[in-house]
Amino acid sequence: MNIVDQRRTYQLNFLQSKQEIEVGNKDHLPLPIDELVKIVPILVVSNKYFLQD
Amino acid sequence: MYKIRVGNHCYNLKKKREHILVKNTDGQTSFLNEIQRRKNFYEYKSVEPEKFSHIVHTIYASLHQGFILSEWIDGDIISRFDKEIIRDIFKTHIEIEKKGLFECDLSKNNLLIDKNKQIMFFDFGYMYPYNPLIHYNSDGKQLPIFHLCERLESRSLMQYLMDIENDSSLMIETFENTKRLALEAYSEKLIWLEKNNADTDVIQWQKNWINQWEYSLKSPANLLETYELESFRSYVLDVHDDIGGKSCTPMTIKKLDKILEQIKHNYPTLKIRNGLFWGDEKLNNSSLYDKYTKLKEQACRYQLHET
Repeated sequence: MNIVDQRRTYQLNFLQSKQEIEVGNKDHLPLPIDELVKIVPILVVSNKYFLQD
Repeated sequence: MYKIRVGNHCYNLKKKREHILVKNTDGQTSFLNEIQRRKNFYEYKSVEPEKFSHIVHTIYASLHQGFILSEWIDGDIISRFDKEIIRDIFKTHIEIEKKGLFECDLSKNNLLIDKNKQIMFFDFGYMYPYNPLIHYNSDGKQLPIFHLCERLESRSLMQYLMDIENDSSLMIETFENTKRLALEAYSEKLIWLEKNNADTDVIQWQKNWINQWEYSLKSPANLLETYELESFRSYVLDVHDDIGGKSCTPMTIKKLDKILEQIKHNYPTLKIRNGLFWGDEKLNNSSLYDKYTKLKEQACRYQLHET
């Protein structure tokens, strides 16, 4: 298996394993997590930067 | 991606997409990949902040919760490739490569210029681990065509140069600056590779790019020839990327038109100067033209629709 296939397999297995990865400190969040995950757009901005990953 | 305001502070909230735009394994795992890279940079920035100052600071991210919260950066996507910006892109990415990460997607939409005219990187969904001492890039040794300067050119710079074609002096000046700065950055990385006993193939591969650009910078005619060959290479690679990920845009079509034009008028030069690759070198003029005409039809079918 080449390096690319190895990476893809590892990533897919990682997603299936349901392991968590956290970065940073939860205590530094400006809002509780429950509120952050509920945020949905109320205004669609025409600037492409807001629309794409 | 959302801009949220809490009190006097603004934040960037990036949430995992429910429907992935890039429909392949790399697209499906890009959010996981992004969180992994954020974790890497969180650590690197805490140890060597000056080397990674152009990387956005992550406040908190969670794979399970499906979001990444960062500082909001006031700015806009890149609209000009000034010398200082190109230098910072290369400098930062050479440091990233030394850490064993390779950015595949230096697309325009991932290059943000803040209000202090500084480049900021904030999207790492297609940045992958590799060993810089034994691999050329994150594809190992399979695809030596991919490297930092090529990624910048293929994903954004060549498109910018195409947009400013009417101002040929700015176009050539920007291309020349890119080659000079790439030469500087690659020479610095070569010293690092030699110091760290990198594989001889990797050292030779690095030297080849350096030699190539030293030749390009010797005369305006050499530079122009390099531009024609490298723009063709970048259009071809970018088109394959877009079609492979079924994520084409009107720009993909524009690049395919450029490719077809070059095949029609410059086939002998492309052939003699090794400008054809991935099987294209085995095709005659008309077969090559037919191949890219068919790819153009495919690209029309795979147009992304912004939502």
